[in-house]
Parts: sequence; structure tokens; C-alpha cells
Amino acid sequence: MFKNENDFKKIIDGLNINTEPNPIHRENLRRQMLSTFNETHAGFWQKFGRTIMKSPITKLAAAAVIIIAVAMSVTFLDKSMPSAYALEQTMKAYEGLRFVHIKHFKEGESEPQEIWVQYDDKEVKKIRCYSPLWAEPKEGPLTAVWNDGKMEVLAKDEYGNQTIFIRQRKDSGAEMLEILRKADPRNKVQELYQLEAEGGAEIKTSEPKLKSEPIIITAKILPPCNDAGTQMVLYVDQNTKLVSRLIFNKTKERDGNQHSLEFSDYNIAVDENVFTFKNVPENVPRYDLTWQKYDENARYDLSEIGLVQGQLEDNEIAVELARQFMQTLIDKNYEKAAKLLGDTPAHNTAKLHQFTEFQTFKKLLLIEEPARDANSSAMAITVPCVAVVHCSSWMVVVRANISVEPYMADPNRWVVLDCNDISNKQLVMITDPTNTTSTFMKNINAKLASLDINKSTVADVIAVLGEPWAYRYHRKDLEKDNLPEDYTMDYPGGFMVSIYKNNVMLWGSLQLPGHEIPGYVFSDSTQTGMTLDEVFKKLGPPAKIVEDFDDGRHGGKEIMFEDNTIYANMGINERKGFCFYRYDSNGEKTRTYLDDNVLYKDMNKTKGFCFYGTISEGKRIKIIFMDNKVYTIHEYRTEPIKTIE
Amino acid sequence: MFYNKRNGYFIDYLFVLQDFFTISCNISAAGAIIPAEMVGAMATDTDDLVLRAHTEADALGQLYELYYERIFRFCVYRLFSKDAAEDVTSTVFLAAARSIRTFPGRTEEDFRNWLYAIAANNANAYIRKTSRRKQLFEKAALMTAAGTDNDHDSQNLNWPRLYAAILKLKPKHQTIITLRFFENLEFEQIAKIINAREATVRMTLHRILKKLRNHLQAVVDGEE
Repeated sequence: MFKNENDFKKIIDGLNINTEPNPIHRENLRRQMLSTFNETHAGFWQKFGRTIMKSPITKLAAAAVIIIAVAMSVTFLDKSMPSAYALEQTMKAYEGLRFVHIKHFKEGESEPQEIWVQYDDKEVKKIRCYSPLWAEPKEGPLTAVWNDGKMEVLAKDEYGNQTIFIRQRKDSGAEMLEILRKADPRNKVQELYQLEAEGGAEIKTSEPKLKSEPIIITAKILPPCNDAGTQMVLYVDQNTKLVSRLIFNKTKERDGNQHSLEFSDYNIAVDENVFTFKNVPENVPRYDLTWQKYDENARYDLSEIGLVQGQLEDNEIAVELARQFMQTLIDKNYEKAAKLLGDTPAHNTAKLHQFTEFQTFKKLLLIEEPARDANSSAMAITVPCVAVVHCSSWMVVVRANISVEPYMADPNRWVVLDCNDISNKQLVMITDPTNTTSTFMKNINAKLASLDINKSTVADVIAVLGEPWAYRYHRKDLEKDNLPEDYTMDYPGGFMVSIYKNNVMLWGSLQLPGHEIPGYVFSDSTQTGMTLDEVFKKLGPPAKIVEDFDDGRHGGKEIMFEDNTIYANMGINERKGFCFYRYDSNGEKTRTYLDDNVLYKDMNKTKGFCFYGTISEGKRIKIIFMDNKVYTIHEYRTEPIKTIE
Repeated sequence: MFYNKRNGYFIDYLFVLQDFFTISCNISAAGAIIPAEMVGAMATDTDDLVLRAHTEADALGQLYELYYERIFRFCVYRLFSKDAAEDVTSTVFLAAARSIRTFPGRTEEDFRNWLYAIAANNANAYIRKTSRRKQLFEKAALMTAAGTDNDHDSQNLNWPRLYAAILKLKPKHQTIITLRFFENLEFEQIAKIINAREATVRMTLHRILKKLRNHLQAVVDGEE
């Protein structure tokens, strides 16, 4: 028998107890659990509502609601100093209220949560609510407007990218009204009035003789209320009898922070546009999610979500779902695409954004063998789809891995989870039956000689080079009549002109596979296909060679160019050369430089992949080498751009 | 969040350098559409997972994958029967799914302790039902009589005998034994799970072992 803990432990360790779980139970429970979670967390707006409900302002308001529900005795500490003021006067003053601006401050936070409200005779008509990060730590800063029964939300991610999504649910107005109800000065006064009538707090009223000073009403919540100890202080303007400020001092058990509401601009008309997003730039993506139906319990209408598996095997439904999803992207049928994504509307918009932001899918070429997705849930299947994403002078064939899985709330329905990776598979030259490429390239250098990269406008470029074959942003086609300020113009044979803030930023060429036509030549000396030796014979030897440089892009860190960094070689930054940002493990931006006149050789552990930038004959040139041969060659402007308003 | 569109110049750099480089060099790096940082972000620490699980099913699903086996194993130790362990494990995770929104914890440790506490309570509740307790006893006794693979010597302790002895302890004491010797948790963690002081747990365990020794001796002697 064992004598002590150690002995006992040895006995336990010697036992051969089978604790191997049953994978079927494991998977079934997982689905059941997530379904349960979904049922209790249905819908983004519920989440949004909850987030707001969790916000201090609503917690504070909830305290008052609780107090109202509990009948308690009133203690007037200030009985010896009767006040001429009565809350009824303020309630009367609020009759006919049309507009008010509410600010909610949290102790230690500089930016307030703000609400603008428009009322009509009886009820609220329009609301705008801005919640800063501290009020929406999970969703990020949000602005919501409720107007004519329709709710729209403007969300901003950490990089400042904005998205608008539109929801129309019969109870969405009620949700917004609920948000407002808890900050509405009329409600606050009404609640306090009921406190006075029914008890639940120690109330003290101080009415200064000077009319310029506010009446101060102090209410201390009493046990057994949950918020016992919380102190509410109302400041009432003696002349208008309207509340100007309301302070909550929360107990440590609840929050510990002081919150305050400031009410201003009473009955000062607010511009109509405040209650809409009409002033938001048109290029901000807008996703209309009014199709999303909910049942009476605010759960998704599952008949709208994903695809029914029916009699299909898992792999079969996975392939069919991926095929349909890709087709919706090709057809730009984003409403249907969103229905095939089984997430909250907010996440669906983000995913759609992810799929469509940088490429236009043109054609689905092939669906490869699906496989279980080891990185995701046990039931997820990855379906590799090979598709054409861009067509101009060439096209890119990509492989997009579409992950699908049974929908949590209804495992018989399958939904698209995500796209794990969109990577280039092949670069294909489109047949050029009209021989445009040869003609274009034949005269390209002469044409460019008549342009000045620092001074020529987009119109000048088009006048000389002609209309481009395509306009694009990354791998996404753009409409000529609706161009953003940053884009690239593709010409035949891999020649491109990039525009930044409506200014010509660079032009040059890349070596298309199998494309042997002589093309763009930089300064009559350097062109695609030349070897390293040939380049440096023309441009002069590099001042320095850095081998095995890793630019960080394959190390799991994103890089980002800073605005104006491109001008680093023009005196704005002391260092010369090509500069970009990358993020370190703490999410902090750090600069990485590719200095001029330095040959970065065998970059990213890839033999023959090199980078070289220099200024030759007053022109700035950047060259990328593949297999130690010029793969791309681009001339950059050397003068700062002029922003065209 | 997903993208970086500071300027077209940047995009073209990626377009030329990264995307086409991928083709030529056959590197399977992610395309520019999903920045590498996002991939890195997927490997978030579990604390973040716990925070996200308050509102995100995906995060809860990942926590489930992390903790299913531990909780199931704990339940097997506590309940002897895999069927019973499955029942209680289900109860634990369904309860977690229902109430994670209001779960105040922020770290993995909080979450782990919370799950264990739910599991311990539910396992104890399961055992408290007389009929189930009797079934567990009978099952253990049956296996003791029939012998098991590691039961060649009747004087040695095997799992059924040990379980039968543990089952005689108070439910809370059973939990402490399981957490300490089967789950190898520190006293500090056990204290948090059962909501007691660490010193109390140490002292209690000392007393439990004395009782357990007596129970085991009785089981081995065939007195019970």
C-alpha cells in the first residue's frame, strides 16, 4: 500500500486507463455545442446590441431600471431645505423636444461616444450613434444610423478601411431605440421621477440662488438593488429646466469608472446628412444585407444559408458548394455569395471583401481533389479551385483554396468557411491575333521619349501610348469611367503605367513567359532578359552586394509602404533608396530599406532573385531579377507628386 | 484588417515582386490578398481565443478542440465509465456554450479552471444520484472480480479497485484526488477550481490520502 503522495502518484502512473475519446462523440458534441452557442448568440445585430448592452452607459441605465422595479422607501436627506424645483418641471420642458446631441464620457477616455437624435411629436425619428474603440473593443469604432426604419453601420478596421453594411429588420429600429432609451435625457428624468415616487435611493436636491448655476440632483442607489452604492448626479439648467449633464459614479464592484452624459444642442436642427452615410465616399464598399431573414427569435432563417447536402457525399457537396460560390464571384452575384457564407453578416462582408478586393474572377477552370482541412474543424473540407482572375494583355491563373464545412446550426447545410489562400499558379500570355503587342512594343521607346515621367499627366500618357488594354488595381479590373486615384494601366506585352494619387508614378515592363518581342529599354541600355553582368556593364557596378537578404514578406509579417516613403530619396527622408514598412511581432511598424546602388542578391533564400535600384542619368530605376536575369524594369518619378483635387 | 491599400505603388510592388515571383520560383507563399500578417494572426495565443470566444463561435470551437480531450479524460477518471464520461462532457461543453458570454474570465487559465469547475460539479452531480453511484460501484466491482490486463496480482492495485475506493470519498475529495493525481494540477490551480484556499487543499489532500489508504486496504482485503 502507498505511504505518501509520491507513492500514490506512482501507483496512478502505473495504471493503464483507457481515456481514448470516441471521435464521433467528439464531433457530434462540437456541432451541438456550436449550435447551442449560435442559438444564444444569433446574429450580428444581436451581438452589436449586446456589445452596446455591455457598454457602461447601458449598464448604468440598467441600474435605474432595476431600481424602478424595486419598490423601496425614499429618504429625503434635504428635507430641511425644501426646493422650489420639481422634476415635473423638467419633464414638462422636454415636451416638444425635437433634437438633442448626447455625449457619453468614460473616465480615462478622451473620445466620447456620441448620439444625435431627431424626434417628432411623439417619438424618435432618426438616430446616429458613434461608438469609439473603448465602447466597441471587439468590433472597432462603429457608426450606426437609423433612418426611415433602415439601419446602416459604418465599420472601420484597424487600417482605417471602411465598410458599410445595411440591415433592415423589423426590430432593428427597436434595437436602436433601446440603445437611445438608455441615454435619452427624457428617460433619465422619468426614471429619477419614479425613483422619487417609489423609492430606491437617497435623493438630494440643491437649487442655487444664482440662476446661472445649475440645480443639482443627487441620487444614491440603495440596497438591495444590484447597483447599490452607485451615485447619480443630474445638473439641470435653472432657466430651461433641461438636463445638461448626468454623472454616474459606479461602485468598484460594478465598473469603478465614472461615466457621464452630456446633453447639448437642444432643439437645434441637425443636418439631414448626419442621419445617413451619403457623405461617405462612394468607393467605400456597401453591402446590402437586407436579404438576411430572421425568425421571431432573431435567429437566421436557415433556408437562406448555404447548400443542403441531401444525398450527396461530403466531398460531393463540398465541390458543388465551392463551384457555386466561385460562380457567384464570377457573376458578381454577391448577394448569393453572402448566402453561401455561413457567418454573421459582418464577417460575411469581410470575407467577401477578402475575395473580391484585389481580383476579378473571370472563369473557373478546374476544381481539384477536395481534402479534409487539417487546420480547421474536423469536418471542414478544402476544395482547390483553379480560376482566371484577370484578363488584359495577359491573365493570371490562380489557385483559390475554398474551405467548406457543415453549418453549425444545421449540419445538413454546408457553408463556405473561408479562402485559405489565393496564390498564383500560372501566368499566361493571351493570344494576340491582331499583333498589337509587336506594334506597340516596336515604338514604345520612341513614344516614351516624348513623355516626362515627372511632368506628364495621365492624359498625356494616353495621348502618346493610346488607351490601355485594361485598368486594374492589383488583380482587380477597374472601370475606366470609375477609376480611383491609385491604379495601374496595362498595355500590350507586359508594359504598365502605375498611377498614384492621379499622378504618373512609374512605368516599365515585365518579362512575360514566352514573350520574346524586344520591348521597353531603359535609357537605351537596360531591358528585360538581360543578365546581371550585362546590366552592371551598362549601369556601372553596384556599390555593395548584400546576399541572402530577407525582406520579411515570407516571414509572416506584412509589409506596407508608407505614404510619401517613395520620396525618401528626394530629401524627405535622409536615407536614399527604396523603403517599406514591415510589422514586427508586436505589431509595430519598422522600416526596411533597399538602398540605392546595392544589389540585393538571392533574396528570400531564392537563388537568382535579386533587387537593384539606382539613379542613372538622372532617372530612377528599379530592377527585379529572376534567375539572375531582368524580370521587371521600371522607371520611377523623381519629383514629388502634386495632389490633384 | 485584411488589406493594405495605402497606395497603388505598394500594390504593384507586391504584384510584380511577390505574385509573379511566386510563379517563377514556385514558392507557395500566400498571395498578396491575404497578407502574411493575417496568417500569423491565426496563431493567436489562447488568451485571445478566450476573449474572442465570448462572442465568436469559431474561437469557441478552437477552445473546444483544445480542451475536449482533457475534460473527457477528467470525466473518465471521475466516472469510470466512458459512456457516463461522454454524457457529462457533453453537459460541460453545452453549459459553457450557453454561458460563455457572461463568463468573466479573460485568460486561458481562467477558462481552463472554469471548465474543470463545471466538469467537477457535473461529475459530482452525476455520482450523487444513488442509482448511478450504485451502477459505478457495481461496474468497478465486476471488473475487479473479472480481473484486467494489469491485474495479475490480487494484492496489487488496479484501476477498478482504486476507483471503488475513491468513490467512497466525499465528492469534493474525489475531485481533489482526480485533479491532483490524474490531471497533475498544481495545488494553486486546484484551489481555484474548487474555490478554496491553497493551504486548505494541501491539508485536505493529506487527510484524504489517509482515508483512501484505509479504503484501499479494505478493498484489497476483500472486506468491502
